[in-house]
Amino acid sequence: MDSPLRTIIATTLIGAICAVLLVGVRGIVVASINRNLSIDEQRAILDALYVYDENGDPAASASAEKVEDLYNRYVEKIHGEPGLEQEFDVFRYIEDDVVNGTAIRVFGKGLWGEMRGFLALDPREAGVERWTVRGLVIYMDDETPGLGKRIRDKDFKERFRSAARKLVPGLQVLKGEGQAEGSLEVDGLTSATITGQGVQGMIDRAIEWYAQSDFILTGSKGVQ
Amino acid sequence: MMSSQAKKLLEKGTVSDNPIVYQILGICSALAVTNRVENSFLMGLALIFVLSGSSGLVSLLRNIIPKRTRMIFEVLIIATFVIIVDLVLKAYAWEAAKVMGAYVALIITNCIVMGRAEAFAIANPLGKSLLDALGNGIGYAWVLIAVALVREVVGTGKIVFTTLAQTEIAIFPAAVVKAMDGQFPLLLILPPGAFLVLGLLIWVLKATQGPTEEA
Repeated sequence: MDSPLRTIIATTLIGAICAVLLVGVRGIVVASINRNLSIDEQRAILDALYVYDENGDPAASASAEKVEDLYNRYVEKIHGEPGLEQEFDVFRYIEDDVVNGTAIRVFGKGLWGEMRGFLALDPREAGVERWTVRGLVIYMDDETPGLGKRIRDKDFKERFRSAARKLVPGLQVLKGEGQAEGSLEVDGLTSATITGQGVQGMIDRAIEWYAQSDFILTGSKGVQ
Repeated sequence: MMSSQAKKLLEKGTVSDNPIVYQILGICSALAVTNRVENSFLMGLALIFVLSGSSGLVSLLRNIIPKRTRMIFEVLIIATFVIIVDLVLKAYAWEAAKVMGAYVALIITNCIVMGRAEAFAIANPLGKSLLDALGNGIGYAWVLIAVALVREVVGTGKIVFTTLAQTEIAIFPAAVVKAMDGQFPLLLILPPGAFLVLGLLIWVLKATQGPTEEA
């Protein structure tokens, strides 16, 4: 029979051994993990902003070092605390002093958990009320593999590229696929209606905030 | 020089009492990650590390661990090593960690690890427990890599490395790839392929090795 005292001593001792092991290892690797997370975030921003490297390859599929390099060269965080991940952080893609696009960090509610991503907009043309969506990239989600998870697929991302000419505000994410017509409708995902609603919500909230904020997209750097 | 007893311990886990082939343990991850040789290799390493670490620590603490609550302590120790592997993969093999993440966490419930702790390490000294763990770990790893070799090579015609190296090894001559029009039996890469290949492997091994001692 084990005495309660023995169990308590064993628990304390073994718990302490495990805790020391974990704290030690974490201390060694935490910097590398944070760097990996930050590169993933930078990759998503470059992807949403549709940045290309000098060879014409998408920056989002480049190596980690290349992603850091391209991000530092072209992207500037113009709203939000440095180093923090907050809703409505704003990033700008600037090349040769020309603003090519703006990415807003968006949070949304998916079926199983939170979704985080970047909604990128093209510069607004003079005299036009709406923005053309440049890209929508989700970098964190908990959706069902094969269903809602398809928001990560190239196929879904392509629906939000400049070439698809989708306009905000007023863009409707439809239920199901294959019905979207014109610039104010975009296909959702079959069997993932709630994921689609989450995407709708994140776009709407971001655009409502963005339209009211002081950022006005112009063609030149430094003008807000 | 390894004693014959040590050799036997190693050999048992690796071949004659291989946990996957003869005990059908640890099948979940063996089915899941074997569509890529690289991931199978990393998963094998991860399991060898967790198994050796947890068996070693359980063995060292075997006289302190209370008998009636021993499994709780075993799980605590196993979980500690699994978290260490998870952290290390996230730090140094990020892309692989994203693909394998769920399965790495599931090593906690891998029957091989718990099985060796409960059946061997809790009652044997450190050296023997480490050899037993190493044998079983290697036994798990080679089966995974063997299954992955068949699946990736036949299913895609090449072996792709993204974490350990940035390279692609073409297996078939260009003429063969051209003749197949770049189309390989995708079935092998998809989940059912894992069942087929692992099933065939177990069948071939059991048929050629003859009945095991227990039979």
